[in-house]
Amino acid sequence: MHTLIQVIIDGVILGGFYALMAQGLSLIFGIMRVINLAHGEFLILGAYMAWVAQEYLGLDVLMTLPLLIALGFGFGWVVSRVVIMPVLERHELMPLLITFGLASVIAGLLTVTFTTTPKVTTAAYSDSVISLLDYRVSVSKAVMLVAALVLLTMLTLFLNRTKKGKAMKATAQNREAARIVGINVTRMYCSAFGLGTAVAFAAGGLFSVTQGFHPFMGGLFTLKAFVIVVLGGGGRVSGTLAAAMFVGIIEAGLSGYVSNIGTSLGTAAAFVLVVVVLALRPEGISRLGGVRA
Amino acid sequence: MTTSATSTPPLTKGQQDHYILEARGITKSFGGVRAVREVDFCVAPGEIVGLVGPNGSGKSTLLGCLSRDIPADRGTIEFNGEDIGGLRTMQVARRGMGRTFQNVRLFPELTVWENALLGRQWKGVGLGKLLRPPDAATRQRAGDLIDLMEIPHLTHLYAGNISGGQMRLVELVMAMMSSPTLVLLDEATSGVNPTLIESLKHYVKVLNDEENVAFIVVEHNIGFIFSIADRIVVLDDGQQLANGTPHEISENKEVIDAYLGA
Amino acid sequence: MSTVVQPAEAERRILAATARPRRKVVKYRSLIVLLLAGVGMGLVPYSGLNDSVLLTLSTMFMWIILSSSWNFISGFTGYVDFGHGVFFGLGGYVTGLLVVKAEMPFATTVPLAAVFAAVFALLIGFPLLRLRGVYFSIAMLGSFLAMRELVLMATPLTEGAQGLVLPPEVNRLFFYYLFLGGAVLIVAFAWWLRRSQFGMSLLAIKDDERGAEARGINTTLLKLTVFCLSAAITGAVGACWAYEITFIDPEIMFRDSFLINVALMTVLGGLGTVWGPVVGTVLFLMVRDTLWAEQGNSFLVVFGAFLIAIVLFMPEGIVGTVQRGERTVLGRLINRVRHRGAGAADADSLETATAVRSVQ
Repeated sequence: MHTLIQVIIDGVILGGFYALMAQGLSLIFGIMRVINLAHGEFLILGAYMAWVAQEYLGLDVLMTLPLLIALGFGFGWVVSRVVIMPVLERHELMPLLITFGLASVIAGLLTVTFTTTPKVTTAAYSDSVISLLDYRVSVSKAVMLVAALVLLTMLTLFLNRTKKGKAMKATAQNREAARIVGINVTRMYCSAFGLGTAVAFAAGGLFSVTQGFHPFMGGLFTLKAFVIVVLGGGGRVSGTLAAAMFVGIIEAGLSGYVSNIGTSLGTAAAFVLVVVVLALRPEGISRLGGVRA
Repeated sequence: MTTSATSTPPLTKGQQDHYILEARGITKSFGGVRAVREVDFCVAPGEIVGLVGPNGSGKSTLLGCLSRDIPADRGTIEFNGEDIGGLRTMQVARRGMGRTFQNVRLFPELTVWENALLGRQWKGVGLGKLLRPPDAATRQRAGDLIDLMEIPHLTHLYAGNISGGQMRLVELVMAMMSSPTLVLLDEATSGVNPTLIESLKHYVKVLNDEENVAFIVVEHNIGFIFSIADRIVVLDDGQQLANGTPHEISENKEVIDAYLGA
Repeated sequence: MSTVVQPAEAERRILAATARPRRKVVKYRSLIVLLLAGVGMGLVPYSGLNDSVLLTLSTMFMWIILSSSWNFISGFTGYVDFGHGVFFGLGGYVTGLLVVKAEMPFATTVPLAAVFAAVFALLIGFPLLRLRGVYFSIAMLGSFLAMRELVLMATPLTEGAQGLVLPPEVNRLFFYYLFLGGAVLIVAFAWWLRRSQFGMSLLAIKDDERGAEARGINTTLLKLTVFCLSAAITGAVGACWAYEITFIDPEIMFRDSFLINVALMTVLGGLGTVWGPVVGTVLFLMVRDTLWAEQGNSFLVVFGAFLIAIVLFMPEGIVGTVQRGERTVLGRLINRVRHRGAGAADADSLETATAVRSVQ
């Protein structure tokens, strides 16, 4: 019983992080209809930036966060403007190949710069642990959960309440109509990609304190984000959050109950989930992104 | 003249006692919008039926339902006496219903010749046959149709590189490849120059005469439709507004008010 | 059908007759070139070149087989398989296990490896291939990553990270001819496929799947068939390669670089073309081995950037641009050079004259 509750606690924390990560992917797909295969690499890039900011500038992750979001937005904007927009109107495999190449470039650059030795960002609260009854949660993980939830809320508010967010959703629903009413479609797409990347960077920064990371973790994150978005079905934040919690708890359970190979099992489980979900509800995906009618 | 939505359309050509296509009570909604409501639609062998109506009247949806491209919510569809309600698009196509598309759907990475050959897909073709180049009969058919449409000079061009009007002709060739009994022409004249429209009209008539192919013609070009259709069905707001010969339709007050006069 | 043709059109029929049937030599040009190249390469071992050249060439042949088989599902059909390495790894492990644990002869294990890969492809292809391309791509990437973990975990069977040692019976020449034969066969098959109803239907699926379905093409069946075929070929190659290198572990058999290599080779040469994978593979390996000689992980950067550049500036690849590149700047240039002097007679053919050329 004790293990079960601890597993649920760990799973929920992991789930909060996954939800943030997945919402970035979902946003880009929902608006641009592009699956960003480099999403996980973007996240790891954010993690390394947080690590650099801490090591060389002595900035705490929470202070770096706004910086990461701004950098991520700019980076994503430029990337989409330069390499995604030119192929957006072509066969759908073209954006796929482009983002696949991007993933490779980022993983390679990170390896060359930082080697494959795992890194962890340290923070003032790195070693602190919250203990309640018999259950333990490290402060860094609690911070990650809270920050992730705050960012998710802000993102939802932005999309639903602001003029710019509404314009983005309008573009997703009907590109031509959006163009006619005077929305700059290219700029909208770039902004959406930038926003998705900013979310990935922020998620990476938060993650970098909780666990060791290395350049080749990206693919797995992309995959998990995709699983969650598919599982979440509608792509509404609530759906994504529930799916992320589900995946987080399964993963925490596997590593809690199965010794040694639990993490590997988690990877395998993620894949099995993709196939099962895609097989059972292929139509659920078309509503992906929460911005389609 | 019959204007009621549920009446049986008259047999106009050949006096056969059966329809090749008999659709009854077709209903289709998208979300809350009822695009097609309780429409009956029948086609006799060798008949050219025009389907007209303002934008959003449900023409394309009805066409989609008939070719099983869009699953209907309710209603029965019989094609050549067989219930095709549960079939895939591909299976309907193989039973002899050819079609062209409002937005041309050719395969740009294949040549016109190869596109034409792909129009012929037989039921139960084994892998062994699939792996062989198309047989002599298929090539003969493609050659004859290409000759008929007077486009042999396009044969070896990639379909992505020919003009819009030429694409329409190639689509007609593809639709005719499997010797269909019914061909659906969806806005076949849009974006086509007047000379080519005349040719298109000619080819449709020739195919109709020679092979007794029935056509369902969805059009915005009223002149085109009135000059080739044996019978015209007018849709408005998802329902059948009128059904009769071109002459009857042109005199129908309701139609003039709702559509033609506008 | 001939009844349709009106008798007064003899003139046009003559024109058609000259346009349609192509001359035999042109038709079989590709096969002749292939055969000559095959025979030429077959004589190389007798020219006194050293072992390392033979190894380089035999690796090249192997990659030609791999990229050609990837081209079937990704290039022809348009379903980009970013996890194709899973079949390579599975094939290698089937052979490795059967040879080491069951002491079966190598020759028997290769067909088994191919069948195993095909069955696995069938199992995952059935749910995945009904979906649009992007979902297939990412799910295949997932299957690749997951399978590597599974093989790593299943220590009692696969010895995990320790790997398996196969009996060292290396005969360079045997593998040279094996891969050469395979490469010639697969290019011949691709050529055949391109002209068959099957191959044309696959390209149609790539261009417009719903349109293909509406024309009566059984898209689901064809996609599954070609996916299994592609998986079987890759599995068989994986089996042969595992036997050749005599030691396998999950990191070797399920290499990340497999995915980018195969994608880059095919895209560089031209997706969905017969000769694309061959041209792409040869160029890629020449560039990699001469200029880049395995300098650690920076190859990921260079080749990733290279892939992006090709997709941006030459999306049809080298062969695709030469054959039908009217849509790209480079292709139009090539066509202009080719057709300079060939006067366009009438206004109708003028607009399309640049595109006239025979298929393949």
